Amino acid sequence: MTAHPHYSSASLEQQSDPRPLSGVTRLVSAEAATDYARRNVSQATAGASADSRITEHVEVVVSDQGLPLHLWWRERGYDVVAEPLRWFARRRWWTEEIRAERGRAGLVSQEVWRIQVQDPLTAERITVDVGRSLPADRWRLLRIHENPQEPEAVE
Amino acid sequence: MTFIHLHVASCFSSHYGTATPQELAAAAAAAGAPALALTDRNGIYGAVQHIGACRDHDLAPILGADLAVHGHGRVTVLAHGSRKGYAALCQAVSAAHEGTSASSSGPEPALSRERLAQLSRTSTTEAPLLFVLLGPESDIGMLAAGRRYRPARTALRQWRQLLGAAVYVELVSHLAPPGEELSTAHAARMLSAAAACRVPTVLTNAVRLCTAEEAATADVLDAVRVLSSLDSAPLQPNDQGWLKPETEMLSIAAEICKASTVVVEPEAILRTTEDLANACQIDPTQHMTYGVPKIPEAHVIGIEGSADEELRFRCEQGLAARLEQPQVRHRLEHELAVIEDLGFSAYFLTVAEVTRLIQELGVRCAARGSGVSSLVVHALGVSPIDPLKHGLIFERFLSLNRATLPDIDIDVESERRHEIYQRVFDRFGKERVTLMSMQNAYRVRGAVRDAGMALGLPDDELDQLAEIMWRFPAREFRQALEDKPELKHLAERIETERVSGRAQLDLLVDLTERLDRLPRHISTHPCGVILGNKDLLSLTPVQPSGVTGLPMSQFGKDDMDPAGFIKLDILGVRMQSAIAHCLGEIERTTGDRISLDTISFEDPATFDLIQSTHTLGCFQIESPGQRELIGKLIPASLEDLILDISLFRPGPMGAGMVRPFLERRHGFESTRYPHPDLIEILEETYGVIVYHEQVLRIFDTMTGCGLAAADELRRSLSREHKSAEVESFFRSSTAERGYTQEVTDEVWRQLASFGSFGFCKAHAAAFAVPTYQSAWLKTHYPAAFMTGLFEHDPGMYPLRLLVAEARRLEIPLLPMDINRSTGHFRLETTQPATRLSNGNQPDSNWGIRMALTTLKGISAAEIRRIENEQPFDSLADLRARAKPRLNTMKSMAKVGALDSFLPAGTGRNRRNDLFDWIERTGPRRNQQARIPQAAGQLAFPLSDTEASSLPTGQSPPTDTEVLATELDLTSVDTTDHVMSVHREGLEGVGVTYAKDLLNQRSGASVRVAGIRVATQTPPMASGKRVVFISLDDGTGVVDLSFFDEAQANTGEALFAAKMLMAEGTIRRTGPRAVTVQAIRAWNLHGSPAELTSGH
Repeated sequence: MTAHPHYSSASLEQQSDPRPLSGVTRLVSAEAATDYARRNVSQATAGASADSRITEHVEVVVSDQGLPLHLWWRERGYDVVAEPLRWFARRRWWTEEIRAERGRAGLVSQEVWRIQVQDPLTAERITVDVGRSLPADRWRLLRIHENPQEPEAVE
Repeated sequence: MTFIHLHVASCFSSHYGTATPQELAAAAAAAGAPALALTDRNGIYGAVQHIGACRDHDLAPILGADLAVHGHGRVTVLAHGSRKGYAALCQAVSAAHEGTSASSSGPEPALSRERLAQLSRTSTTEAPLLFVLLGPESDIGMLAAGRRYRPARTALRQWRQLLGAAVYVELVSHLAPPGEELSTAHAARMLSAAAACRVPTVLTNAVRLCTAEEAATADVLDAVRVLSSLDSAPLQPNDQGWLKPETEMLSIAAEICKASTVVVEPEAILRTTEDLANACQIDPTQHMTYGVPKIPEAHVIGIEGSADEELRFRCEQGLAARLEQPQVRHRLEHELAVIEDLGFSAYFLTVAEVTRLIQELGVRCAARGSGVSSLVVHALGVSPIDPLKHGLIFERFLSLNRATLPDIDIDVESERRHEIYQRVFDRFGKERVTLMSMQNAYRVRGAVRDAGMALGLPDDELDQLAEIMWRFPAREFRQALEDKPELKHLAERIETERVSGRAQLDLLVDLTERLDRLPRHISTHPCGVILGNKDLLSLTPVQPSGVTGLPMSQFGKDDMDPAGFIKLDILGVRMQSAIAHCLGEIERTTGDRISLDTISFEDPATFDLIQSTHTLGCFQIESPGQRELIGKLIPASLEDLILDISLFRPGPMGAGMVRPFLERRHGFESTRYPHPDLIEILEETYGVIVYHEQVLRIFDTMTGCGLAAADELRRSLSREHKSAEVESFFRSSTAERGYTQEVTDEVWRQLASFGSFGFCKAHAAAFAVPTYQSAWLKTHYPAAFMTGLFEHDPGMYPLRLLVAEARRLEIPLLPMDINRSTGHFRLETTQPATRLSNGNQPDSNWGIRMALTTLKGISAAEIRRIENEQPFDSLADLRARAKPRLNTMKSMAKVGALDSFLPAGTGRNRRNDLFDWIERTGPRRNQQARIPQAAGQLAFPLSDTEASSLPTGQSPPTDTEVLATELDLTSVDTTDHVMSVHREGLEGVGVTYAKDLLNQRSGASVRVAGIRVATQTPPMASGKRVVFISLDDGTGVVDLSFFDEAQANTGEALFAAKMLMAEGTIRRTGPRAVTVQAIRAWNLHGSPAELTSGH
């Protein structure tokens, strides 16, 4: 094998890109980035899926205002008996989804309702989290709470 | 009750927001909002667009910025709806950027709380000039997030103490999971703190998305902002930061109030929000002088009386005797009347003053653009082009009908551009001048890299991907996978991975499409300088630019006209620097001073060179397409060059104007005119419409509309929704004036197809002058000209192609030499200079000495020391006085820059021994060299005993090794062309060289090979993509064209391969024009053995 002159790519590119080698424009200093990451990372990626997740399909009947009224689960009906609590939980869509085209709904978060339901036969009350998936608008049971927490009291 | 969004980030919050101001305004209007704020992070970059968008959608605009306050987090700052309020906002933003740096390594923009308070305060008891909203990212917001109730209240009291009524608490709930940041509970805690401290509260949604569907884009931006992958980046809690309509915001307000222990009605919060919005409404004209031109005051340029009179006086002085010609006098009076009427006299005097400053500095300059159409501009000495001589029309530049502000461009030596900027700042005062900025948006390669980083793909894989992407809009990535042959492999790979359950590449395609055209970073515009009056810095925020010590506006090119800012384009042109270096070298070596202003524009030798198409290095006519066009057009005069430059534009090329023009020019088709009235207008271009000026004259002649209205009509031609209007006006007016239906039809057909694409002759005329000048220098001073090109590399090609061109011209290339090379490429005599008596070939003795700057790793300081201490008589002398680093010494030895220390006659044969010696003894010798010498002590005047007694042992480098070293250490093959290494192998497979192509008959099959020096995909009449690739094979340049099939046959190598071999057929398109129409090409990499493979 004889030695042959090779080209460094720089000599052949007509207009070399002036960006740093990392390929990214640095918008914040490295320290600021690390600092920011340290401060925010734990909550941001934890989401609601940390607990053992049940992903059982359920039916939810909602009011005109979009509030859950009844829950159908394993062929039994339950009434929602307390004021429901709603939030939007993050999804790790880049590991869970195969497409992320413009305009796709429900990619980044899932609407979650924490509701207290009562079994009309036993009168037993349980607290559950149900999630609503877009774009299909399907409901799933996410969690059943053994010891539901009271909502936060703000001082 | 109406809800108004007060905290909204657009995509001008770089790597944060996802929507344009237009999209946000449209969404707000559709939801029925009466007003909308724009509060981008660190600035008001989108303010002018926001004003325009609000106007379009009948919204009241509100302006503010999301700023960091030292030690207190981020806050939203809103301008009070007044002139002073807007000025305070500009100043607050500028203050936040003080001490930051244009390169991204500096501190983040932030201002002190004291400064913010000071800017907000008024002397009277009126409303504050700035309102400060303390939201989730402020210090109290972060304390509340951490449930630190008491410190939050203490902090809020401090804010209130300092800023009084300017302070509001901003409630935001993105409905994050209970208790987390941006949850309803977080907002409720802030509401409690506000109530306890009696600070009013407003509701916002801290908007960064127009719709929830954009949240994935924001996730990618969050990751890229911290240079991380999605897995480890701090991301938004969910997708709820979008521009929600009133009903949703009402229910959020209700939720927050319900979660709070404070008794407060949601309506009260919304009312406060609305009241604040009303106090902040901006009247663009009153408060920002939006649309009102701002020009330096006459007294600044030393004018006591009226600017109008002064302008007249200077023009009359400039034109002097020519004013006796009635048409000159008439034109001047006409232009002055228009300028006076528009109130722009001071602007023209300002431009004249800037030109004077540039000339005073001895910098080459040339006016460009439509300003060249003006006799006033010519009379003031700003442009050398006489508009009357070239038939240029003032109305193309300025008229009472023209809504846009005048725009005069000046080309200067790129090397001295910053010096000129500094001088302009000094002359007009730093309160009246700022540079313009520009937003760099994501294009496909950058988008792929950043989307890939977010997905955690490895860097080298992304490099490979980016390499095969060629100029298609990022948002059409998925479509491109189907259409483009070079992406076929990638498309197949995505398919395979999808089948095996991996989605990363699919996601990469989607995310790349999402990033398309989002602003990526801001930089200094390459030429725009904004000149205003003493209030300029109250009308635009500024931040440090890339030009040392000078500020730049946060506004860009498209903001100037609507906002009423006047800019002057002072463009650094490397060709002007190359010409300056060329002239400087001629003067340094011969003492001759050449004035390009006095050379003849009819020099036959210069046109011979142009017609030969050996125009590499000549301004505007060196590209493959231009060389082909020149070969067909055969320019023989300056007017021809103007034509050539006008034809070689995307418009004319794409509209298929070139062929009919050439057919007529060469007499293959007879020239005819639709109507005798048009002969005078179209004569110069054989009846084909090429110039804007011709379109104007046709409209004026056939409809009698006047030239000012004609320019309006011309501009409407290119706008689809307006061209029907133009057509009906044209048809009715021409009918009235007695033109027949046939004539009208034919002219309209030409206007409609060509008129909207034509080129402004004034632009082309301004370009043609440096084009001719560069060709003249290449003809008469080839070595000096090439020296200038080496120094500034002004064109589209890599330096090593220019070196190859010098070799083709048989100009001696003198290798780097420690005693002769400097920080610049220099002209050098290769034998005792004997000037020829006829003066015809003054260049025959001149060679070009390579500069030290091309050596990899050498520092500017080392070059300076070497230049200061030259010459050196020994290695020891070099070490002692110039103190080069060991690596620099080694590189210099390796490329032969130290050959002169070796005993005479040995030179290159001992190069490896010398390198070996330096490497082995280097550190020791370096230490000795650090022993300080007594001042004034003379360097040892002995011959280099060290070099003459080198241990032998290393074999001399082969030719191939010498070339490899040169390419590696200087990126330029100086001693011979790199293809020479492959010559034997190439001849074995029947390769034809560039120099022999012209002798081939049209249609002949050939094989060619070489190094890629240019790739272009110009717009074509057919709308199909044609790829033009130029190869340098050591004897010249081979120009190849690839149509669909050839592109498919070539695949990924089309844009990625650096050395190519191709098969194709010869196409002769003119006496000197020959291209190869490729059938296929393949990567030619590595050893000659590989040359025959690849099919």
